[in-house]
Order: sequence, then C-alpha cells, then structure tokens
Amino acid sequence: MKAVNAPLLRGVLTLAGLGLGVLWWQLDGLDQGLGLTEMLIFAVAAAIVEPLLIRQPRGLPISVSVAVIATAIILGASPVVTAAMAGVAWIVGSVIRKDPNLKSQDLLGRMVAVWALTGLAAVGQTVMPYVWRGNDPQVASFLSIGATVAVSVGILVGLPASQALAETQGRRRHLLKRVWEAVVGTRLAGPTIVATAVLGALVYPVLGVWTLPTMLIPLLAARVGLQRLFVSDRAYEQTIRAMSRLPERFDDGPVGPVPRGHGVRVGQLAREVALEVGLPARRVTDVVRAAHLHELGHIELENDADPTAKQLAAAGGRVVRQVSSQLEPVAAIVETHGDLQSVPIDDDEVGLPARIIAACCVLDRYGPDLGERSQREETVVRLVRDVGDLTVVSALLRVLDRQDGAWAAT
Amino acid sequence: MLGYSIGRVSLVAAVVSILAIALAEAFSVTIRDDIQVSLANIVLVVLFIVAGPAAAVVGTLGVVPVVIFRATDRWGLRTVFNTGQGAVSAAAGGYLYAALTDLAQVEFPSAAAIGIVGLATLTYSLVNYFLVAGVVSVSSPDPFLATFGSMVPAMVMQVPTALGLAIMAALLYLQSPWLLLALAVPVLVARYALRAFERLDTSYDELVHGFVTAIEHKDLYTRGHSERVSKLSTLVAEELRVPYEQRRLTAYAALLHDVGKVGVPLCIINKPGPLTDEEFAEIKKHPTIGEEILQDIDFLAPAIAIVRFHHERLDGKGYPYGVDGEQLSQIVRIVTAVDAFDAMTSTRSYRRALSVEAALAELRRCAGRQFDPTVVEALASAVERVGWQPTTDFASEMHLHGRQIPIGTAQERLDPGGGNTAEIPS
Repeated sequence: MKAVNAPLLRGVLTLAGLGLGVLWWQLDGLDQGLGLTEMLIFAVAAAIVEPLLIRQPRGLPISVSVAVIATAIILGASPVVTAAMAGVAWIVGSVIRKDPNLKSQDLLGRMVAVWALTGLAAVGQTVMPYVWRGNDPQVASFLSIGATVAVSVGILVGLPASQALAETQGRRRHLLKRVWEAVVGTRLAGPTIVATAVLGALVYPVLGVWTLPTMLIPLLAARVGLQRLFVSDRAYEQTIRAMSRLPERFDDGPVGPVPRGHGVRVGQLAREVALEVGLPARRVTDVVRAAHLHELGHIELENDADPTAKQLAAAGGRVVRQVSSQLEPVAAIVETHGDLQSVPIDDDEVGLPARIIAACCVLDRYGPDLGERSQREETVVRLVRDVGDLTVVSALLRVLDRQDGAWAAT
Repeated sequence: MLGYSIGRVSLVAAVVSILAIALAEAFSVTIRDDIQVSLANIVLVVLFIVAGPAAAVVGTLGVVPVVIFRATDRWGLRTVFNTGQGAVSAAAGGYLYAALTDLAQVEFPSAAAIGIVGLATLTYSLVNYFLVAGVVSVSSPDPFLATFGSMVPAMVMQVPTALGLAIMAALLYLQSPWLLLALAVPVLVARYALRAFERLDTSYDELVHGFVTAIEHKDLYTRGHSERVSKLSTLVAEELRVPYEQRRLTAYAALLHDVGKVGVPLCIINKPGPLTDEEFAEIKKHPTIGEEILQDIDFLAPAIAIVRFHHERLDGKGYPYGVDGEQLSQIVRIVTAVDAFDAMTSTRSYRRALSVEAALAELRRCAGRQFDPTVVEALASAVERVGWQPTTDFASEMHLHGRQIPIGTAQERLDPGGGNTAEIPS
C-alpha cells in the first residue's frame, strides 16, 4: 500500500480552507463587526501572546494567540483581517522563539486555517441564526450562537486534526485513529481556548480593549497548570530515556555490553513501528519506554556475565519492577521481549509490543548496512526467524522504506 | 452609628455566599509545598460587587468546614483565626467599595467603579496579608516586617489576577449566572492540570529513587548513599536559604550525582586496599559519564553542574576537570561537602564509618581549600538540627564476607605513600 501523498493532502486541505473562507462574503459575514482600530489592537495582542504556547502531554502545542484570534472571529472580523492577524502573529512568534524548524508552508497553513475558521463562523451563523443577549441593558452583551459553535468545533476538532494530518509523515494506515488521538490530546487546552474566546466576546461590549488582558488571565492560569504537567511528563520520559544509557558503552569510559545509543535508537524505531501497526497512543508510550529500558537487565548482572536473551530480559523485567510499580506494563514487555515463545502470537497486550522491541533491537544490532542487498535479505531472514511475526516485520520494513527508501529497490 | 448602617443579608444570599466561599476554598490547589492558590479571594471580590459587603463578610463562614477538615492540629485556633481574618479583610475591602461607589455615585461596570473595585481588592489583600504576617511573626522568630516583606511578591501576583477574574466573573454574573460556567472551564482545567502535576511529580520522584536504588543494589557499601546525600543536601540548602526551585533541583541532582559509577567495575569501587593509578583513573571518569547520561533531561540542566563537578575543590585540585572555586556554584559546593561527609560517616569496604563529630572536624580542617567554609558550617547546623547519625550497620556479618574492615582513613586507601592530592574521597 502506498504512503499518503503529503503534498497532495496539504494542497487539498488548502483549497478547501480557501473556499470556506470565501463563503464569509457570500453569506454577508457576521452581524457584529470590529472597527479598524479595534482590529489593529487585536492584531498587536495576538502578536504579543503568540510565543506563549500551551503545551500538554500527548497533545499538540497551541498558541495563546488562538484565543485572541477566535475572539476577533466571533466578534465579526473578516477572513482577510484574521488571516493577516494570524500571519503577523506567527512571524513575530517565530522570530522570538527562534525556532529553526519553522517553514514558510507552516505560515501559509496557519493563515489558511484561520481564513477557513472565519468562513466557518459565517456558515455557523447562517445555519443557526440565534442570538443571545445579556440581561443587563447597561452591558449589551451579544453573541451569535451559530458562529460561536462553529468556531468552537473548528478549534476543538479542526485545529488538532489539521496539525495531526500535517505530521503524518506519509503514514496512511490508521490515519483516522491518529487524528482522533490528536483531538483527544487537546481535550484540556482546546476547551480552555474556546471558553476564553467566548468570555472575551461576552465582556468586550463593556471592557473594550481591556477585554484582551482580562480574558487572558484565566487562560494563562490554565497554561501555568498545563505547563507544569507538560514539563513533569517530559522529565519523566527523558529520565527513562537517560536510564537507557546505563548499560551502554561510553566513548571515554569503561566498556559496557550495549552499543552506545542503542536504547534511544531502538526507542525511536519502535515508536514508528508501534504507530504503523496501529497501537493506541497509551500503548505506544509503553512500547517506547520498554524499548529504552529493554537492556537494563545488564545492570543487575555481573560485568563478565554472558546471559541468554531470556535471562537478560528476565533480569530487565525485575529491574524495571524494582524501579517503579507504575512501570509494570513496561516490565512485562521487557521480560517478554527475550522470551517471545512464552506468549501466544495473537497476544496484542504484551506479545505484540515485545515482538516490536525484539525486531527493532535485532535490526539495530545486526542490520548495519541496509544498502547492501545481500545484507538486507540476511537481515529480513533473521528478523522473521527471531521475531516470528510477519505483521511486525512488514511494519518495520515499511517504516524503513519511508525513512530512507533503502528497501524500495527490493 | 456614625451615620452608616451595616446592610442586612437575606438568608438566601447568606447561604449562597457561604457555599460559594466553601466551594472555592475546597477547590484550592497546591502549586508547591509552600504555596496554595484559593479562589475564595476572587469569590469575595465578586460578592463585594454583586451582593454587597455584608454578604461577603457572612460568606467567610464558608471557610470553617474546609479548615476543620484540613487542619492536622490546633483546628479550633486555626478555624477561629482563618474565619476572623477573612471576615475583617472582607469587611475592609467590601465597605471601602460600598462607601466609595456611594460617594462617587457610580455603578459597576462603569470605568470609575472598576477602578474602585481595584482599590477594594488591594485593601482586602493588604489587610489579609497583614493579619497573616502578624500571626506568623508571633509564632516564629522572624520579625513582622521581614515576614510581611516576604509575602509581597505573592501579593503582587495575586491582586491583578484576582481583580481581573473578579471583574470578568461579576460582568458575566450580571448578564446571567450560567455564564460563569464559561469562566469555570479554564479554572477547572488549571486545577485539574495542577492536581495531575502533583500526581506525576510523585511518580517522577518514585522513578528517580527507584533507578538509584536499582543502580546501588549490587553495592552493599554504597547502598543508600545517594538518598542520604540528597536529603542532607536539601537540609543544607534550607539552612543557606536557597530558593525553593533550586532546592528541588539540587535534591534530584544530588540523588543522581553518582549515576556515572554504574560503569565502573564493582571490584574497583569496593577494593579494600590502595587503588592503582589505572584504577583511580577509572573512578575519576564517573562525573563525566554521569553528566553524559543525564544531559538530555531538560529540567535538570540548571543543576547538571552538580553531577559534573561534585569531586572538584575550591583550590582547583579536584577531578576530573580541576576547576577552581569560581566555577563552583553554591549548590555544587553543597553537594560536594555533603557527599564527602556521607562517605566519611558510612562504612565502606576500606574503612569503618567515622563519627559525625570526627567527620565535621575533617571537613572544617579542609574548609577553604577543598570545601566552602560557609557550606561546612551550614552542614554542621543541619546535622545538629536533625540529629544526623552515621551509617555503620550491615544486615549481618555475612555481608562483610568474613572480612575485617580496617579503622584507617580514606587517605590511606588512595595514597599510602602520602603523595595523592585528594584528601577526602567519596
């Protein structure tokens, strides 16, 4: 099965987004509107808060500026204004963040997404032409229900989905599952952004431009909590990855039984294979952790010991259990990867992750030069013999094929 | 009296106010060990605006059940104080708001009224912190002004936040109370995230301790060493008033400071006799190896120097880099001294544990050359404060493998001839 044509997919999504934005004029925009000065102030505010990302574990980062732009959309700003706002904010944020990975197509994608969101607001208002007005005549709050719902759906579903699609890296299988996981991954930040935008739209008639700093206070409070959670989660994963180095050799240090960087490489490869076979995000995390720790049994054994794969894996399982009771699923995978015969071939809970790690470990240790045809064939034979799972082996080959095309010629 | 009457509060308003404050207080979140964030302040300011100062004062009774439930000791005193200071603070802020809005003939949400809300919030916070600082300074040796001054940064952060949220909440409430649900979303997300962070923090703690235990498992003599160095380093950092976040980093870095020894053969680490130059060269690599293992852990980056430099000396004669004191930050100096102290006060393969007094005397002898004198004295204070005891015991004689451990010094292990520069290895 061929991989997804990523440029084609992006092209289709871009055209769809542009068409959606054009509908804003077809449907005569929203009932509210923003003056030029107000739009400029919104643009400045979006640029100021663009560098502030809301990061969350297992979810894609979202900029705080999305809340500002969403408020402007609900208040009736046109697609041209909001897209320009998003573009300027993105450029300013990029300069401040000094991110070397940013590309111009990211800027285009951002502007098209906002353009489309504005058009979606107009569609929402047309489909649901209900308006909410506040009780207090002094305050004169006014909210288009349809536009608000449409913008909310766009942020909660459309934004993470489009980000996930952009990051598929050509993976066609289980695309919908990955998109859904991306949507679920933003279940904390997404509603917070939406609620903030709605709050801003509600209080704007009273507070005017003071709405912007005021409405961002609860959002920034949520960001503090999510940021702490993200940092803690990342520290957890990074520490596990660091511990993968414990049994390895160091350039200027004592000889260890494991090649340098083996744990990290196996982890990277195992993650891709796990995604390729369609494991859910939670299990992918367990696979990656187990991949990092699969050689940890060496620290329990004497330096001059020559254990079998089964003994090493069993020792590894013991060490991982000793480290933390919460790593029990990881320990089970580690101890099974050296004794694949102990689980049925249809066991997906422990057996499948264990076979993935066994395959990636074999490849990293014994598949040095995939450019050589004879070595490729030998490696494939070894993989099939040692792992015994054609699903895993073929997934691994597809991952390698995408990474460097080395297998494409066979 | 004085031409002003205290407003009445209807029963419904009183019950709603009390419930709102109780809920807000119950939903408070611990951001770190010494900081708890409560929404009660925001609810009180909203009550000033929408229900009047009397309702806000009555609402402070909502604190009572929460304090009683959470208090671990002296719950009666805590309840009386917390309720009283909340009521006094609420009265100060609330009646100021009522008086000024009456005087200026303005109503919320006009610009003038919003300004008065700001003033009322500031007054409420000042009175609140004033009273808390008073009781803290009475029950501790710290003077009142110093205590109040230490609370100012928290107040500077809290007042604008509470003010912004309160104004927004009041505006929404005036439109429709149901709109407060929109404000509840980010607040609840913040709370959920912070609680999840607390749980994950505990898990991370277990993870790191677990790894260190697994690494030290094979070595009977250094089991528990990293744990003790971490605990004692934290105590010393508290003595030296190191900021909270740095103390936390120091604790983790100290726990992991010897992780690089995992590659050093056990026979070298536990060799009972003098080390050869080659063997010592192997041991000297462990700080670099440890740094290499831990370098990808972002949050540890500010404290990675502890792992890198924990065998360096002020006079530049340490290892592996031979840097002098100028490159050794305070937290590095803390762990260096504590590491040596624990090495001296625990039984190793080559000598028995020294007493705490003997170990401190040795540290003082080397202060200024190997160790920071200020750190050594802080270590002595911390040891005395907690009654630190040396680690001399084994589970059984069998663990000593039938050997007699000499009562010599560590110096003799490194340099029986007296030429080695390391005075106190660890």
